[in-house]
Amino acid sequence: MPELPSLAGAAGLAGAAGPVAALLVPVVMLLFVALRLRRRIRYPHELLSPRDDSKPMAALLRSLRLYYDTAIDAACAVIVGLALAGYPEPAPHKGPATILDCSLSMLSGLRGDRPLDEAARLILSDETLRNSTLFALGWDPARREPRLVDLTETLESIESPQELALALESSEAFFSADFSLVSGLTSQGYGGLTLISDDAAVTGTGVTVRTLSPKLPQYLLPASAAWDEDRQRSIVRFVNAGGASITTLWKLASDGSLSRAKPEDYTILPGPSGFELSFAEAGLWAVQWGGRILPFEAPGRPAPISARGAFSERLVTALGPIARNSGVPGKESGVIVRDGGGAGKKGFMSVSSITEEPAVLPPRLTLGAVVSAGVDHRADLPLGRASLAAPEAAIPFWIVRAASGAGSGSARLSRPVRVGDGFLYPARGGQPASLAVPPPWEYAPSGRRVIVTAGAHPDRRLIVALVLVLLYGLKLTLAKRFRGPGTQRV
Amino acid sequence: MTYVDPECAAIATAFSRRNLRARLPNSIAAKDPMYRRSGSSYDLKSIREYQSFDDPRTIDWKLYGRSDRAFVKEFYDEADDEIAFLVDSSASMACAPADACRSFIGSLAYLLLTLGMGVRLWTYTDGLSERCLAARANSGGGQAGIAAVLSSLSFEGVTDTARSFAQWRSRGRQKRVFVFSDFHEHDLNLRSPHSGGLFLIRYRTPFTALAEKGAELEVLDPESGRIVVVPWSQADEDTWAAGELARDRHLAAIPRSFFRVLDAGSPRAPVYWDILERLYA
Repeated sequence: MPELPSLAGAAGLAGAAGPVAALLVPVVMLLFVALRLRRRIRYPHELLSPRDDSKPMAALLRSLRLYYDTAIDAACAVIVGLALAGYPEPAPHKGPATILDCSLSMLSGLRGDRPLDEAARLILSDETLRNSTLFALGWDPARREPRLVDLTETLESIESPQELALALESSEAFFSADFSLVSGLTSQGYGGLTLISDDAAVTGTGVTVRTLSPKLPQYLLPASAAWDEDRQRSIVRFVNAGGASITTLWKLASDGSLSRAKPEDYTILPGPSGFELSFAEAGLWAVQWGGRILPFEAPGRPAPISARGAFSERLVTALGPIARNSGVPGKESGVIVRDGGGAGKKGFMSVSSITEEPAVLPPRLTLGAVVSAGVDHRADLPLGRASLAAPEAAIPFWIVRAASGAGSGSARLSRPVRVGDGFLYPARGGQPASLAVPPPWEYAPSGRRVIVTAGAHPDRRLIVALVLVLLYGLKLTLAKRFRGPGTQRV
Repeated sequence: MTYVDPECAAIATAFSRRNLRARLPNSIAAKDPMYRRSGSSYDLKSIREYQSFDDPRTIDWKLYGRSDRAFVKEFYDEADDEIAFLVDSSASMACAPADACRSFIGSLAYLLLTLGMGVRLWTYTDGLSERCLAARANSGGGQAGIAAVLSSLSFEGVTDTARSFAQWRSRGRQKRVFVFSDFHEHDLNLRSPHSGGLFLIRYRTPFTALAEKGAELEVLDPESGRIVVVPWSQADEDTWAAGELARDRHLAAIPRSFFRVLDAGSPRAPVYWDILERLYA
């Protein structure tokens, strides 16, 4: 049935007749007006032309000259009309592409039986995948952002799946993957996208997903990390599954070096679904389990909350022990509660006093408790009489303060150092060292459903624009040839 | 219609009062016919005995048979007092001020005939006309014949001035020739007759008189029938003027030639004077 597409194309072109006709109307009107206004006189052409134009090209231009302007305008109208109707249709022009998930979960299992090894075998054995452009969907540790890397050059020198797996392990971070980048390939002109992933929750819309054999989840993950005011220690709770258990605790220096933790540095207590590590002070640590090392951060004591402004002063005073004992006037540290606007600014919490309270505070700020609030988009917490009467109104302040105890990502990224599954960004320029660890779903299925969409093919506006530029360039050239000073020739 | 300007009679009278005889060519100025130049007309000048420098073809063999002596006949030169008019009758001349052109030719012929010269008129397009009109000063119907030819000009066909001029050179024996045309052809090269004069009278309508600045005109070539669109701006006008100037300079630079451009409405009397002065110079 090879005729079907052309019939569909013919029907589509018929749909473009309307815009084309509408755009041709002014062209025809201009032609009509020009012909009406144009005078015809009899005069020897050679008296107008000081040179001999007897070449065939000159005759062609003479014939063209009568209507070239209109012809070019009509051609432009047709092209713009077709473009308005969606022609030329978007289509891939770079061929098929294969995207390989290079997240940490691809390395789970024993070497040779990992999803990465299975993917390498699949790519090299499937002729369709082999002939397509291979991309690695990975993560850039230097920029701390996901990326999509073209592996065409790498694949040229690869002869076996083992070589491909090794090459990928050496070039990719195997940290996490952002599947939303896949749709960007479509806009770049690639078609026939195939995603190879071990994540069974990934489905594709316009993308063929080749799911690899799943592995039994085995993990040891920090579930929470906070400073315990009662015990005056930093508590990190771990959960484990699949028989993963801690074998070694390492102290992570700010330069990335590991040293075995001393027994007096920590305490370990078993929990209902894992265990709990507590430390006397904040620091960077790493647990080793099943041959893998996972760095983590034990948060320090959060700074007390400071206040700026009369209303904020009263609020902070009411918060009790977490508030700063303002012994040094004017010296502010930690989270600052302030009056007025500036909602969402890091390190600050803006409050405002309102009279009407038709809304409630966001549940994420109150741990689900219902606290009435007003409406003031300039402030994080628009509080009124009823808000201040609720005891749960203090929860947002506790949350903000607890979060301030953990180290934050440095704005100035230092050169990353690989530490087990994660990366350490050493201290630099007064900024403390920070960690980047893979998300939890790289260790265990999160149950979330990921839909990878192919996106839209790039429309061919550039082609249309180029054709229009060429046509108008031709128009200018002809106009210059026919009308320019010293070139008034027939 | 005689196509003679009213002032021509006065010009002829004024010019004849001058000492024309002193300024006429020797052949015309000579009172004694013996001193008129020999030539190839049918007017017999003399019969004399054959000399060694004579062309043997000129020997009168009948006389030789009767007298057993060789005699040669001499004739007067027919071209001495005759002037050739080559009138462009191609289609392009219809764009020139045709009536003014007819009047100029008719007036000039009148002047020349009045002053005792003869006029032999050919028309031409892409070639010289087969027949020509010969008007003599003494013949009464000369001017009428010229007027008839001028009124019958239909201005059709394609111009080939060079070819027509060459054909005239092979046919005509006149020493002085007038070419009336718009001279629209490129690189036209005409040569003045040996020991004679070439008079080029260009009639034209300036394109600037037809086109308005900023307008776009469809220009129909009357000879080829082709149409072109000519946008007309100041720059185009400047270019056209430069081309016209170059064309006029090229024609005026022909050796032993007299060249004038006559637009519609331009005064003709000074040109008559100039031509007569040049003829009798």
